[in-house]
Amino acid sequence: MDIHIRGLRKTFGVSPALHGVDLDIASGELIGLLGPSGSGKTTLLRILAGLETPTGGDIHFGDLDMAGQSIQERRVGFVFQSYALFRHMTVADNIAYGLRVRPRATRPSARAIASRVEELLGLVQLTGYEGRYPGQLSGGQRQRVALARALAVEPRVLLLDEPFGALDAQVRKDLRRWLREIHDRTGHTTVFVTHDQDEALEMSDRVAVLNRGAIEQVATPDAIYDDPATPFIYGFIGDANRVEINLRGGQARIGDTVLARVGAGKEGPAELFFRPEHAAIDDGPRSARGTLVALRRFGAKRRGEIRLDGAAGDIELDLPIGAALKPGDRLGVRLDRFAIFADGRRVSVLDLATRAA
Amino acid sequence: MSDIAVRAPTQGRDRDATAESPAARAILIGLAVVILTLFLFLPLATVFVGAFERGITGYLKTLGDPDTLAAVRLTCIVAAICVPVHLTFGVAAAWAISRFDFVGKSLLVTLIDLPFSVSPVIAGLVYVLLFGSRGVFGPWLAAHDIQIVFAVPGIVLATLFVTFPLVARELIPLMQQQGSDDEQAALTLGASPFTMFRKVTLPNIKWGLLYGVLLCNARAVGEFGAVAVLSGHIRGATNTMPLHVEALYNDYDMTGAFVVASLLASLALVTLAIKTFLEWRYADEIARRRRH
Repeated sequence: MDIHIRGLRKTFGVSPALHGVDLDIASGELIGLLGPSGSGKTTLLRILAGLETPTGGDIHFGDLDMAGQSIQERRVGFVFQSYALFRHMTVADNIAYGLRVRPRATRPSARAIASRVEELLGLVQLTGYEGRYPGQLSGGQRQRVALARALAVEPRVLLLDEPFGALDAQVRKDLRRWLREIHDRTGHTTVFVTHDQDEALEMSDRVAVLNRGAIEQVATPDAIYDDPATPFIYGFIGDANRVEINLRGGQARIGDTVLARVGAGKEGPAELFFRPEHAAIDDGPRSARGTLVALRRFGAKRRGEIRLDGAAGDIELDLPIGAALKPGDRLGVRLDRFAIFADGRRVSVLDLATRAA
Repeated sequence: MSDIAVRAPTQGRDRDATAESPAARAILIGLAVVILTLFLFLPLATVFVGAFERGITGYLKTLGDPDTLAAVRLTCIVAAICVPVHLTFGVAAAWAISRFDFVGKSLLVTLIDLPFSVSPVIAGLVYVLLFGSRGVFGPWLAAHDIQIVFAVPGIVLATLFVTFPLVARELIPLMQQQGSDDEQAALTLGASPFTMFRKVTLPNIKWGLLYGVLLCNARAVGEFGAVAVLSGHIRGATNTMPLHVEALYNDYDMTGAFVVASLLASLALVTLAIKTFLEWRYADEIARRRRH
């Protein structure tokens, strides 16, 4: 079911948690809410579930206004970071819970419930575990039971709050891939919250990056990584270099090198961002000049720290392993892809690979 | 204890670096045994020996005394009122404190703890000053022919006061530690709040609740100070078991005193047994709670 969020606001006491969030989620989409702690991502998810009441704005599931709908009426599947399994019930009873608490008129027969439980156990690959108690399962298994329990009620949307936050790195990786598969098979509209950028980028169809209670960008993982819309995303996701520059005469320069035309009327200080892998050593005319300050081995690559002429602070850059370079060498840096922001707004993007400036 | 026995044959060679020497260990254990015997086992044994001084028949005869039976009955009535009241109040208070933020929450927590820090005698005195014939509400109560002080209502009030924190104090840390995720999960799965409480909340807190009820019951039965101030010591009418023990003792009826005392002591032993069972059955949850 598609979800439409308009002007959603939430205030806790005097501190705003969300101010004016708009978000459209397509039916069957898997969307990740990514942000640092305190960015409002969990609040947004809990409002969708009805666990928190918004201060303003509205939410529609399809054509259905959620304003007057109670938690129970919303029919959402919610998966908690803490699993929140009922510890005194077996795995099978946990999964069946949402079906058993239905009023008699809409409650499936005992046999139908049993077969649904069986089917879901198969889906989450826990067949044979129906008689166990949550205390007898590993963290990963518990979270799979929690997911089966949420799916049992045929939810309109599936909401997951840091679902893998309490798990080991390896289990996490496996579960990510596995959850993506489940999603592709069942096709539920799914929203999950995470502070782990790898998780968000790997699993999501689209990622919504939140910061201080507002959405900074909603885009595909590729676009979020390669084409961040704000300085915050450059800093929050992946590695990025930030160079303070000045806009003068419609041009952005580092030292004497003209990087881009930004149009007349834009003057004064600006920030230039680029990722280490989007720059290369090149002595051509479009390169900025600088001095190699330090060299470090960085996984399969070599990282160089370079002090650009006419710019404050050092930048980091991926260097070829074989290149004969040593600290103190003069070199040119060609930026293949970067973005320039003035007052937090993007004024110029350049991508030499596609020749779009 | 058990690992001491296991290590005994090889002691000296591969003893734990942090363990005491065998001599120190023997002295410490011996000291503990002596103290326990002197101050716990001997008095307890004395109670039962004294109670059965005139044999089983003498015991039963003393127990059949109308005043004694009245004291037992009154104590049961008091416990039967206090325990359900605090069961309800304790769950409600723990729920409110662990699930909601509201103005005056810390004040409520402090108030719940108040009976622990106030001497029971003072608590009794406060009720006398409030409801006694010369108390604040005294004239009004007298005019409406309501007797609180030196009557059963006063005893119940005093016991309610001293047992006030026991159930709530057990549940608050437990429920705070468990959090509300389970309950919210039940709601998102379509459970009504009442179903959620019955099927999720109550099973999660049942051992803690039972533990609190047990402590509450033990205190309600055994309370002396507050009840002594309010009861008026009317035999066969307002004497609870602990008060009756004192009354018999003051009459130099040692056997009678010991007989009633043995009932109280038996109740204490049963409470202890159930408590031990609960702690064993429910060890992990209690351990978690103790950390707070």
